[in-house]
Amino acid sequence: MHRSRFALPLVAATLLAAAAAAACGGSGGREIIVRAGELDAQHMYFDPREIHVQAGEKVTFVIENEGASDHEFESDEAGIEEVVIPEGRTRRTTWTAPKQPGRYPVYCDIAGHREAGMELLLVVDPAP
Amino acid sequence: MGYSFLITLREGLEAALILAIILGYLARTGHRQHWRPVWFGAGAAGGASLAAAVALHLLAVELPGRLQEAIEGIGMLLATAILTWMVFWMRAQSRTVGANLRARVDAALSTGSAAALALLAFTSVGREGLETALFLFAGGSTADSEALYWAGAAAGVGTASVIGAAVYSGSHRIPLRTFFTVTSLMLMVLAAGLLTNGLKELHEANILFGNLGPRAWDTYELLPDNSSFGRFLATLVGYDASPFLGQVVAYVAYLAVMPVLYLLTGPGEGSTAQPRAAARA
Repeated sequence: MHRSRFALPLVAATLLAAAAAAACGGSGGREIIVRAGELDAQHMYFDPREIHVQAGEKVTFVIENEGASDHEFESDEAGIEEVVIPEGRTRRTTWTAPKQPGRYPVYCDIAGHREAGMELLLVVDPAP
Repeated sequence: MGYSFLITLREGLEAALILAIILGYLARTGHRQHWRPVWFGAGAAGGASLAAAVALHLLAVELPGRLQEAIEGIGMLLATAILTWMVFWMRAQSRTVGANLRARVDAALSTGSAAALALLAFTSVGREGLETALFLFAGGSTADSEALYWAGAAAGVGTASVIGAAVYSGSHRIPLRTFFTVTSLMLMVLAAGLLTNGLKELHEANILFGNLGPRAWDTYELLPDNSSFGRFLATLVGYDASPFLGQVVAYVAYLAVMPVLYLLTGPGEGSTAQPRAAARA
């Protein structure tokens, strides 16, 4: 049997599986609005500064960039992949909290932004 | 598990495709002995990424986002340049790989060319390797099942490798001329995506390309570039839901100019006009 017959279908199937995983993810859970922006060049913010979720809870962060420059929303520690939010735009990212309680920083990783205040605390509380 | 699987599959797929094309090309032109520098480049990048990520994780040192973006951006532009060179190098080689002229290829691979292939393999694997490893290490400790998390990551790398192997295997069964044309087109598309992604990374790192112009459009509602499928397209063809105008111009210009140059530099077995990079050492 020629394996070549399977090469293209294999690549296509992988991409389709990824598309299906993206499309069939189901509900994004509770929506949490986060506003991002700048007060001035030295002072930037995420609002709110602290977010509480329950262990194992699935949530969707809706990040609204109300500033005049691009911002990012990410946390390597919590397993939230980088999302770039262009100025004036809104971006969404769905995330499931770990089953163990914990505290994680979420930040904008653009040079100087985190230092200017773009960091919030994500607290995973024990499930009731 | 699914999450770590998707990340390593996505990041590994591009490297697997490039490696499959390079190895397939070398095998079909009788340069199998040059597999060694390619594997060395890929292995060195994988090992260095893993070692650096483990060291940074154990030392609890956080690599600044700007530095990560700079590494990625420079790696992407470097890979674009080498892929571009490789397309024309393959084009020059393909002239002599006719049914009766195959022997002439044997000595055509110079030391410099082998080093460039090793560098291409290194940048293909290492460009995203460090960031992916860092992200996986950081997220691994918070996963509900660390064993499943790492099993997923390994399965992603394994699946990407299987796809690369299938492409390599398939490349042996298509006519040589078709192989050169198809793989050259694939490399051009991959390079164009790397070019636009590289510009954006260096822009975000605030190192180069400080002004890429306004956003050309916004297709986020149609296909979010942070969805699983969107991220796959971003990796393979440079998809960006809201690209800067400068990225679009670079992408379109690259894909407009490259096929023309590709056609102008061929075809015809026995042609004497060869790009300097392809000249024999």
